[in-house]
Amino acid sequence: MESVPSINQLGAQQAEREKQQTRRNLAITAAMSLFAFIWLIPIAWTLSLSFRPEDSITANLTLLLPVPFTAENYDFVFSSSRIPRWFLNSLIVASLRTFLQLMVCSLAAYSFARVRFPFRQTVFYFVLIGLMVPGQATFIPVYLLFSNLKLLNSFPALIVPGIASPFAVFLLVQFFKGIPIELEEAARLDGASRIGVYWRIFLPLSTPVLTALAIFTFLGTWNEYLWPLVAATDPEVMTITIGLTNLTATTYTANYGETMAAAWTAGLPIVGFFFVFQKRIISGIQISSGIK
Amino acid sequence: MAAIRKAGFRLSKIERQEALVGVVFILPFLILYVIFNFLPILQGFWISLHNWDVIGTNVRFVGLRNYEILFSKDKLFWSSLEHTLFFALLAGPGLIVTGLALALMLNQRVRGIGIFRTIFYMPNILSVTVVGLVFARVFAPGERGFVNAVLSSIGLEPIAWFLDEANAMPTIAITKVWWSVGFNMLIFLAGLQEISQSLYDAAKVDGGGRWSLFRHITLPGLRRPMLFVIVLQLIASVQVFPLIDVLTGGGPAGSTRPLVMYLFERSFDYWQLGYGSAIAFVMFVFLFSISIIQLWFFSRGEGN
Amino acid sequence: MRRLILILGILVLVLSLGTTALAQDAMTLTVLRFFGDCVDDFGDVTDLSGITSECGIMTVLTNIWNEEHPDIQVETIVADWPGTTQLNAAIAAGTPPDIAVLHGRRIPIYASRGALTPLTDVMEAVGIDASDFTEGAADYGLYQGEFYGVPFDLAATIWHINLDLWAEAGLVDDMGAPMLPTSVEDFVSAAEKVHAATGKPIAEMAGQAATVRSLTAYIYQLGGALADDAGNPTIDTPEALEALNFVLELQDLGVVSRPYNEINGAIAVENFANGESAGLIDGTWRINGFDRQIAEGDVALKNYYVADFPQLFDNPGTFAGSHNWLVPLGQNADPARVQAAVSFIKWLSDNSVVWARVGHGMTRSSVINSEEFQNLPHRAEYASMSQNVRSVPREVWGNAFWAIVHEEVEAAVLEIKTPEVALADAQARLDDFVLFQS
Repeated sequence: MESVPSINQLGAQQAEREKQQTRRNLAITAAMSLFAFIWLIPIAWTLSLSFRPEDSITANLTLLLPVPFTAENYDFVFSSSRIPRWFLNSLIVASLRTFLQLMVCSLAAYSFARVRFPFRQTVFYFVLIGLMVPGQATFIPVYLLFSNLKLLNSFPALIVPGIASPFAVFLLVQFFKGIPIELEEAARLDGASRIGVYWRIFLPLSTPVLTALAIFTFLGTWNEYLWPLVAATDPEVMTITIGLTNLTATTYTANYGETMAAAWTAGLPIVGFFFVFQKRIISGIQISSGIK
Repeated sequence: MAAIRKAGFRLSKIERQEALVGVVFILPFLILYVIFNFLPILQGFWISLHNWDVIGTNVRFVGLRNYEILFSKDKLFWSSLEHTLFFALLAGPGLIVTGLALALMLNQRVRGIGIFRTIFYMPNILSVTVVGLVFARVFAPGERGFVNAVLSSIGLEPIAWFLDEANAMPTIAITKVWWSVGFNMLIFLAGLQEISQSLYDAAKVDGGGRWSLFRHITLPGLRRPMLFVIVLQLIASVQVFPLIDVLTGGGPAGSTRPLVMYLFERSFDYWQLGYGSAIAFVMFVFLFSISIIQLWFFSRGEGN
Repeated sequence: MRRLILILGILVLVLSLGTTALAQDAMTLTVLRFFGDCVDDFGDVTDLSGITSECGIMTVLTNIWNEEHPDIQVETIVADWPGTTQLNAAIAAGTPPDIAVLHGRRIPIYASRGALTPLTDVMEAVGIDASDFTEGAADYGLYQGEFYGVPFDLAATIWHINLDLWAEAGLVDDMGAPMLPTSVEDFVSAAEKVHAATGKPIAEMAGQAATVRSLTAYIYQLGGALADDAGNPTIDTPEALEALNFVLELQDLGVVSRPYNEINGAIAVENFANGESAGLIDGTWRINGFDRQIAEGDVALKNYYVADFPQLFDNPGTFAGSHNWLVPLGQNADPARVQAAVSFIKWLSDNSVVWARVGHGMTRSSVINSEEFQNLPHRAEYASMSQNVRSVPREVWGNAFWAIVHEEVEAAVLEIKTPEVALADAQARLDDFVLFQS
């Protein structure tokens, strides 16, 4: 029965396979859509709350549709002339910290992953210590340090403590170790220096993880609460997270509408940031194909 | 023999150069790390040997007394440790499995995949305050809660999510997975990029099924990201605090109070910074030992 | 080289003299306070009429002061509630603000550590008449007989009442006032009447905090105390057990509050606004909020009455907190600075009747007796509140007391522990705390 398939048959098979593929894709998309819908409900709810008047929220909180609709919460948030300033502050602090952290930590991670030096493993464990002690236990000593340096209420106070992140080093070391050694050896044979290998091979090949880390750090800095709360009380250097909290904080009530409007105001740029950069996570150079 | 030693010496000269490069590369990191991470930790240890008010008054050296109290008669410390481990046990596997599943699902070339990735990542952008406000109501007791409203509309009894000792921690863990699984998803997505497509192609030629591909290529290929996520998830779970603070405040009746919340209470509400620092140091020793074991376990059989 | 150093030295000297001279021209005082940030709405406003929010009143008061006192300028730093995170960090760093607001119960621990400036003499010098404070109110600013804080208001637990629902139950008299229960039996029968007529609870607790505040009020009403003669905390007492049993009994009757609303205060508050409960046990700070909601007409609550916290046992007694202004400059602060700070505090206190618009009780007899105060909405309805308030014992364990009692009482309310065990556990934890501090 098994005859050599004719060209026509081959074409039909391929068409069939493509059909199957399309059907599979459709099924996947449908499943993902359902899952994503459920995932989104709480987020949709925050968005809806941000467009509802507070009294209607009091009467019926668990309403998914913003009826009656109002933009007054956003009016309230944007009525503050200081918001652009706080926004800029957050942007400066989060971008600078993210950039510096990526540079400093990736260089160290490359060294830990690929360069041989004495006590490398010991030093690496020493760095991991920084992961094991919660920030709540160390922020008083760090605060006293900045106070002694007379640097409270300044950008350095908000940026510098987060640059040397053991978390980032740990993450990057794991990924750098996965980059094929052959690539590096080939480059070294061509006369590339260590710094050249780091800059021209490791950084480009690690785009996905560097992007993930950048998103994480940027976001973490943007949403940071305890440290900027004590380190930057001056509205001139205040971050938007703290500024908006002060604006919407009343001592006794939750103020859902304004809080959610503030959360969306502060959060929307990050969603955009993520949407733009997530592509790099997947379309980062396909390093491994062709090697091995 | 002499030749080998000579070769050894030559090598060691290259090694010295190499070592110099290595040290120079980690130096910027190390300097900042020592100043802003390590010295504060040392200072914390020093404080833990004292009675030390949070405002810096009433400082008195007490040696290991804080540790003695901690281990001999502090019931709350032990119950907080228990709650913390329970949380880690619930949230840790949940975050890893869901993160991996999402990454596999979203690592496809399907139209609109970027939107899906953004959606699943989105909860991550919310601050803990917002998550607290929202989920306190999603899982509110009685019929005012979101989930309970759905339950009662299909004829089921409402559940006392955060108000029941047995339910509270699992509910917190569910919230935690929803909120932060996006980051694990990103790490796994990035990890999947490092696996060569040619490995899959070769295996497909050999007739490997989907499960076999996953088992023999994907999982081993994700070994390093997996190590990172597992070690980090344990550390993060043991340090859980702000989320529980906004969801239950450690309640009902202290049954979800985690270690860091206890540390925070003692340090900042009770002013006992010395005692709080002792808790932090015990936590550190615990986490460090476990992490080293994990790292050792994973790096067995690895060449270097 | 030496000449260079000399020149530099002189330069530094001249500069520092210059700056001190400048500083003498206009002193700037920093005030660390919560109540939120509303500079955008009230940044230039110096007219107090029509402003009823805490944030608005405080901002405008500060604006007026700054306009009238070019020599002493006040700069506000907005803190997060309850104001301790930034204050503690600033004190630890040796850079405290000149003035801060804190709840009165927090004063003892700061004062006992020498972190607060004693104020009794300065208050007299500046003209704050300590005898003008009502007896209950003065306590909040005192520690060991010395004033460390100036009590600004009384934030007391009261009974918010929905008159329409009470009328349905036949519990409103000819004058249009609710017939308030005066004994346990009264209370239970009123609760049953309301429940029978409307199916709604007579008094929901606005969260666990309100439950604990009620509990302490009942303990006082039963003649109990929260501290023994030596100043140590006492919660495992017959009075406390009776009070706790009463709270649990009401819950068991099913006519008062549902336990989950006792935990989640926000839901209880919404229930009251939505007319789903006939009463709410919560603080004075909600009064103008409910009034505003009613005025805007968006809630089911229409006829709103504010009653004193019910006295169901032999003695009067109700819980109140109090916002206090204090000077965290320590014991050897620059007298001129302290005097300037206290003069600002005096000015706030003199204008505190404006603050009463929020609903808070007042601390000074002269203010309470003023026409402006008496004419505020609802004031006649809860007039005896200021006399009945009892402060938490003025001891350093004041903070720990609330946290611990909250948690253990919650265990009893949720039936995780028996009342006896809950109180014994609370006592053991308090004893530990006192022992640790010693």
